[in-house]
Amino acid sequence: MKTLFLMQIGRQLFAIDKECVVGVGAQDDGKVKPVEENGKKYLPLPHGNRAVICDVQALMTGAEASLSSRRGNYLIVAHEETLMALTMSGKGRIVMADVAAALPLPPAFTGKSRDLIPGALINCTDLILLVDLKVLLDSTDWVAHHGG
Amino acid sequence: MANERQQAGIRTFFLPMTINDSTGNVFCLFSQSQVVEILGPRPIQQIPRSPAYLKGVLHYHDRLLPVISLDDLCNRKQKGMPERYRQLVVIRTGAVDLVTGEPLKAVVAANVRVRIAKLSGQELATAFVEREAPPSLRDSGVLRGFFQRHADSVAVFDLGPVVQGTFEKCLGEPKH
Repeated sequence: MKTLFLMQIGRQLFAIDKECVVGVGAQDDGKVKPVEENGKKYLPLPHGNRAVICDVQALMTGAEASLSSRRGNYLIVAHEETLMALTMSGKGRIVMADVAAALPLPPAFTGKSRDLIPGALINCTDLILLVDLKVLLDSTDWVAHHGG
Repeated sequence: MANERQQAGIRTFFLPMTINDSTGNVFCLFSQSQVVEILGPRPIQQIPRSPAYLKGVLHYHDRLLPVISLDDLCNRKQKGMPERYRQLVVIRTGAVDLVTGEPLKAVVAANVRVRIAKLSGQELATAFVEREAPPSLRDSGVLRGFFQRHADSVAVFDLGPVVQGTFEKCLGEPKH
């Protein structure tokens, strides 16, 4: 069993290793405005830190939703030295799950999609996609060039 | 027995398609043995960084099946179509998993209701006249046959490379 952070993006559920989660911040907080640099958006954090904003929805649709139009939260996660702010609906929750029981994606999904989602957990009628943070971080470059 | 069945008609499934460079009605033909089940609309789990023709996965009998949009597969230059499906057709692709050897099923998304017709053996042999496919279908990499049946066009696809995950690689290789 593993402790995961469950986040909802659109109508879909994604799970991230709880150990990587740094915190949750509100998206519509007027005090903190994302800054853009080299096509990437960054969320300023306390103590001079910043997190690269990753819009997972844009990875699915290929089109970025307007940051200001959403009333969600940022999930701040750390991968090695890098901080990422993932846009999500709601505040997410912590769950325990048997990740060994995760189903792999069908073979039709290859390349980056397969690397990004190494498996899916089934919880009754819900499907929870496990996310590889390293691949997700690499995908922020892809969004900067293809999305929005 | 087989003769009786042939006289009664073979059930065939016609999935309406939208093909940009074809003015007439185009249907994708599935045989009775290919179709496992036709499902009503239900949520499809999208997978990030996947091609537009792969709409996501569907949890079906303890398996994850890829959901394929034939329209997006055949109109690849156009951006993904809106995702509102009337029906989801679970099919046997005839292909096997290259690692496990298990038969691979897929789900084909239908924007319009699938038409079901019973065709006699004679009709199957005479009513379908082979004709040249529009470029988008010809270049799709999955077309196995294109026919005229009355006023409609009927396409037959091999989705094996798509479900096996070799499709993108096949498209990338030069044609001989």
